[in-house]
Amino acid sequence: MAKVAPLTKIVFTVIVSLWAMLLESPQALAALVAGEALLFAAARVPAASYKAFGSLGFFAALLVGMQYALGASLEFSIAIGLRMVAMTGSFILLFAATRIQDLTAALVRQLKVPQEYAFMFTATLRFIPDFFAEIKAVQEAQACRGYCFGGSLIKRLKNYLTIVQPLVLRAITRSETMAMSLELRGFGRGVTGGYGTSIGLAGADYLALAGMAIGTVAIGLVRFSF
Amino acid sequence: MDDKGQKMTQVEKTGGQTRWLAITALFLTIGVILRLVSPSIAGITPNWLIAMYCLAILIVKPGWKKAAGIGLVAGVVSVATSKAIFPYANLVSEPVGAVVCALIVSLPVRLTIIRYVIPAISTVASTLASGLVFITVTKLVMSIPMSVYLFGMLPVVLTVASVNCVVAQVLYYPAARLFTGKDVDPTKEGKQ
Repeated sequence: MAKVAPLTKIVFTVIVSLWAMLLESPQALAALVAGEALLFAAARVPAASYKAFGSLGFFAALLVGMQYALGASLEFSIAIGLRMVAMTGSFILLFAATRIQDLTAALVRQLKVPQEYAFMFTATLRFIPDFFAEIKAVQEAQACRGYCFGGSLIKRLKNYLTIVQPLVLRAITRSETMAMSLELRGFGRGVTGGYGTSIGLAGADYLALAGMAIGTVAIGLVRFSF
Repeated sequence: MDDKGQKMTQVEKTGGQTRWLAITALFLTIGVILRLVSPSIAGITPNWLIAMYCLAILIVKPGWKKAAGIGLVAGVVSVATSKAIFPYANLVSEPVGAVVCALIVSLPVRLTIIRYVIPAISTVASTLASGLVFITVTKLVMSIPMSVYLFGMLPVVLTVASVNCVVAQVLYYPAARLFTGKDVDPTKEGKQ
């Protein structure tokens, strides 16, 4: 996976979702999910990504239970759950196997996404670990002061607000520094190409893209012929 | 030392071409994290991402085109972190929600009492628009039974709208005060 260009990975993510939509039987969808799991192993992604992929199973089970309880057939409910795992799993794989700067470069240079929106997207993902650490720090600070989390529905919502408020206020303060830093680097003034990364397609990418095209045609033929 | 020709340039605290970008990205990050870590309350997970982009729109007051862009980014982020049946529906629903919020924020409201609760009103409208579009697209694309749509999905949209309304109203005034560096007075009409 490391040798494949980010654009190929983006196309793969969309194609897997398309396959998940086209496939109907739970067996075929299970095979798609199994294929994704194999790619996870082959890509040697960080342990957190396996955990995220695994947790999808839990939510899929909830989804299947809800669909079934509300009158859908068991086969349909299982197919819905597997579809969700296949679609979301491909995104987890994309983000686990691609560097953020490569993703930004592919979005701006190859997919012609406006730089500011590509930046917004990748910055959102980039700051997730930082804010996770801040949430933990806020929770620990509140625990030190004897704040107790839990209780009724309203109390829980209130608890969350006590965490969100400092985070939001910190984000506003941080945005000033971030904006200044962006402007000092000439962001948004036509200064492009500063990603310092090669994202061009190579032989392996063309091979993968051809394989995906053949797979899509084959699945489409099977889906609409029978 | 000759000080002639030197002049001090004062930079507004709220100024800058990219502050809206930075603040929106950071708010979306908070939304993603809260969405990931929030436990399901009575089977419903609050969609913090909508509350956060509404808050960003309320603070930076973008035009509808820029708001659609913010919504599209929120949609892509939602697709990537979704636990929904059809994650791609977010690509339609979030831009709709963001544009609704931006349009409400840009309305010339004269009644002071209404201006006080604009954060709540815009967030409720935005969540309802986004949620209804999301569940309708999901229902149509995935052929979800009507019983699931009415009794499984619709109540979630209404609950999330009420939660987001409280979140946006509570967070808006302190956040706007910090952003602008001065008190935000809803009794004064127009941009502050």
